[in-house]
Amino acid sequence: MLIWRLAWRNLWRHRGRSLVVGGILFLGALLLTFGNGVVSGMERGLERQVVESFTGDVVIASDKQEDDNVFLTMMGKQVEPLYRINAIKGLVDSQKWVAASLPMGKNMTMALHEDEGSPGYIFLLGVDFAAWHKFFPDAFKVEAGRIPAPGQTGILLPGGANTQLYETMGEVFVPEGVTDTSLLPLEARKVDAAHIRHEVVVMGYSNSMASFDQRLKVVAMGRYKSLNTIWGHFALTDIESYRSVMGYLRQDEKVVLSKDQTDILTSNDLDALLSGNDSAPKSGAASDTLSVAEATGTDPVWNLLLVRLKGVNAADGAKRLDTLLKQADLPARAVPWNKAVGVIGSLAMLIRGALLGFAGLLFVVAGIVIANTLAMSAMERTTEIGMMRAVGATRTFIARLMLCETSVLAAAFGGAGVVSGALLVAVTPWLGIHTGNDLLQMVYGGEIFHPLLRPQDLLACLLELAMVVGLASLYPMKLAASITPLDAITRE
Amino acid sequence: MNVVEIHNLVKDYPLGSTIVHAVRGVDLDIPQGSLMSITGPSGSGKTTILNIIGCIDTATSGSVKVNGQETSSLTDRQLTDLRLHTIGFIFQTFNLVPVLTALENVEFPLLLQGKLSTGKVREKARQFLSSVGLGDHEEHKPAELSGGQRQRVAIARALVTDPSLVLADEPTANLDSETGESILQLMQKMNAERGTTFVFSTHDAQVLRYARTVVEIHDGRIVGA
Repeated sequence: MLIWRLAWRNLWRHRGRSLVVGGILFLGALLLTFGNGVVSGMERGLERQVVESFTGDVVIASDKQEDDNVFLTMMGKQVEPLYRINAIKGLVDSQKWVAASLPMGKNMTMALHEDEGSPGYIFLLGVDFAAWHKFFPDAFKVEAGRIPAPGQTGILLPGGANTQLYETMGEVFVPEGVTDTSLLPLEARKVDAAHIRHEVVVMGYSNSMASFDQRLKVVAMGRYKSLNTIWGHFALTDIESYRSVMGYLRQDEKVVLSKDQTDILTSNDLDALLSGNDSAPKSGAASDTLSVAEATGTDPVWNLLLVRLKGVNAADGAKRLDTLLKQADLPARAVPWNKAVGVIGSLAMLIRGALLGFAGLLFVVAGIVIANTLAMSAMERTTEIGMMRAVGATRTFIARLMLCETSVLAAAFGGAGVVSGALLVAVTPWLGIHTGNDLLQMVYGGEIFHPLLRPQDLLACLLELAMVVGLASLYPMKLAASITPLDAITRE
Repeated sequence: MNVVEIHNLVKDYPLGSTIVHAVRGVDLDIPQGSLMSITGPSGSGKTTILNIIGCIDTATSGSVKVNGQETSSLTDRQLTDLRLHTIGFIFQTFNLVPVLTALENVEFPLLLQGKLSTGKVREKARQFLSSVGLGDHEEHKPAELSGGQRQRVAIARALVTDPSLVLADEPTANLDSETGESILQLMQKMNAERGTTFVFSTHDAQVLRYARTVVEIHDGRIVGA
């Protein structure tokens, strides 16, 4: 009690110095709190923009897929075919905590120039448009043409893909009948009419390095509603066209084998078959042969299964699904969304790291200023401290007194900084600060700047503040505690 | 019984490249209940002797015992305890905690001791503040008190812990003669009433008449007692 009384009165007595130290603490805490709010808002916004418009919470890929990053792969890196999709989707959809799932084809393809020019490259997504639109109802805004109806084929080109194709091929691709050049990429608006095409020849590669090309009619162009700068490079096509491009078996090419044909094709004992022996392969092998048949393409082939969860976070959901897939011996594995989109998923973490680095630097500077100010204060009070030591105050008492003084300042000014930062975070969304820029939307956490402060962010701010104050107090505490009564007498 | 026993005390200070011999082999015993003055001209070593007795400074060589304890063998913590429980200080100029009131300043060593309840501390502090004639100045801060009043508060604070020994370094140096005399009378009264040992330094001959024992120091040596 005595120490707190002394601390409070000393701070009041040296109001000017207290205000300097307090001001630094206030500003540091305010910036840290608001910065944490911006990053948390960004994390949430990024998650919403990626999960709700592009990936779902969890992505299931083939167990042969080496990298978790299946969307933003390096040029030409294949996404493995995902077999036994019916069994996988059945297993996934049967979980109560799964809201929906969507199979998808995804690979890098080459767009061929029909006049022997340079080819272009586009990421191609193969989807059932109806199911895709149901899974991502507001993800894509069509600016010209329309999304193909069931049974129709064609390609849907977002602006980013069109820009990329124009830059590499010198041609732009628009749906037939579109004359509005304002829909074209800025650089392509003065392109010669001869270089405006309504079909694009797309070539994919199979794992056996065979190539397949397919002429796809451009049926629509538009933009993804969020993160179009990134997702805009992903063109969409109907799944059957996609399978043709990738050399996968199309549904209409599926051949239904009789049991004998299946037995022969899957038999391990060809000698017995060729010797005319009537003893055809035993039906005991049926379960094995069936699974082999399924694995080699009885089910339609996709690359990914996107999963939307309810009441479970992505990391936990991916873990649970992975376990279930392994238990069911299905050739697939589950990846949370943030790992499936590579560096984009880690962006918030990277920015948080940068913010922490900046805050750390800020606090190092603040800590030095605070330590210096407090040390000067201790030196100025040599007489007073020496006298207290002379009448029986221990070194510990003096050190605690200094710590109490900085603690009071930290609690008052730092606390006010944290509260002000939290208020600023709460008020900012109401200001309606808007951006149409995709990349800025990532920072804003959406179209409206929407920082967010979670309890753990607040706790982190308080801990960081306490740490800085504690560290900044160490030297002044040591200095004050080392003052002796003799120092006071010498000073006098 | 002696409260202080000093044997062959030497104190040297380095001053640049030279050594200042502040105390050169002092032997001195201070019996319990003394009212002793250490006198001598400026720089004679009086303050140094008081500081060493009060465990504020250390001897270069020799032996100093306070209440039977050899001070050179004590740790910083033990020396602090000795100052808190056994010795009371009255300094020449710096005396009080500026942010505490007169009453709180008197309470200060009692609160450091932590022996009494808050209520008892307050009661005892009030009693001592009244005994130095400042009962109606309890809530005054040091800056609101005169020099003499501050010294009175310092005396109350020095005595409130019932120390065996009170050391006062030129307690009247900054006071007018009337106030100085009243302070010395107060110390004389406390010595008589409580039996507290007082040792004060002065180079003012007028002050000496209040002491029962006078020790004269010159160039770091006792030249008369």
